[in-house]
Amino acid sequence: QTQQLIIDAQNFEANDKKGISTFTGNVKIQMGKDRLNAQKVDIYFVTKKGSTGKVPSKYIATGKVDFEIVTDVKHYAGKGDKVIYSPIKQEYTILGNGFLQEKNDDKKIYGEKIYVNQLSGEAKVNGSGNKPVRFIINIERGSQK
Amino acid sequence: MDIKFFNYSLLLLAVGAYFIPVDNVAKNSDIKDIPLVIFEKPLMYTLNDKNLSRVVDASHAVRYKSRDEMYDANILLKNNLEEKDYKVETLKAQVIIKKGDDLTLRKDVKYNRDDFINLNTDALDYNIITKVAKNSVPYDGYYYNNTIKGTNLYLDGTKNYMKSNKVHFEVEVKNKK
Repeated sequence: QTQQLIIDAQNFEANDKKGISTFTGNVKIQMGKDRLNAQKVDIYFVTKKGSTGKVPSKYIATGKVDFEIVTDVKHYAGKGDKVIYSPIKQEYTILGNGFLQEKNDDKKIYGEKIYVNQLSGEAKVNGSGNKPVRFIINIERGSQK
Repeated sequence: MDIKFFNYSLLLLAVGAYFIPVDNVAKNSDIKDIPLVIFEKPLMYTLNDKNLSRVVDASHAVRYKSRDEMYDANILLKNNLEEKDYKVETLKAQVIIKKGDDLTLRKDVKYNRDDFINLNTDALDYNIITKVAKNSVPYDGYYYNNTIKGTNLYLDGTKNYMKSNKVHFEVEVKNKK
């Protein structure tokens, strides 16, 4: 199934030799219901076999990155210093001050490295030495009789 | 005494004015801009020491002393650079003015680099030697089968580098969903 990934930005630069296109200045990316905002996004292109066409292999967003990911089962919102999206694996990697909120049941995850798989809707998180992972889950207490 | 002085100065002024070459100045500017040659349906091939480097065709072309004006023109430029990452560039427009190596393209301008960069705009300036194309108006088109719209295009054909402002870019993504 193909989808349009739409990018709007103030500035665009493309270096064919390096295979990198850079968008800067209020960058807004939209793909289906997924959203990503950042100050800078680099798209790495690879040449399609047997053609001059180029396809994106990786997106790296930096600078006040915030995003929303809507999978079939989950709805996430989050932010981080850097977000890498791999269209081949359909996976987001949030690096540095990562925060992810599962909107369905209001779970919050803080970690240095968070993975979100767009297909399965799974999220994995790694902490680092001095910044452990932190989960915040809201538990509803039973009513006082 | 004053009247005499006044008369003499008038006389001097009149003699001086007689020698100002007014007509000539007027004549020179007319000569410069006269069409030297007019071509109807020209088809021009340019060869270099190795091969055919340029093909120009137009509905008509007018050659002036300092410029050529081509109408409904189509210029095909073969890639003679060492790096063969493209074969041909084509430039089309309703009006193309050539001054030395600079091309000024206006109205229904189309820039193509093989089939992977195709841009449409209303105005574009292009240099045949440096292969730099630039404008300051909106454009749209395709960049490696991705849709692109923007303004203030700067495209360096030699370095394969492009930049522009206010960009809207669409990439077709295959999802496994």
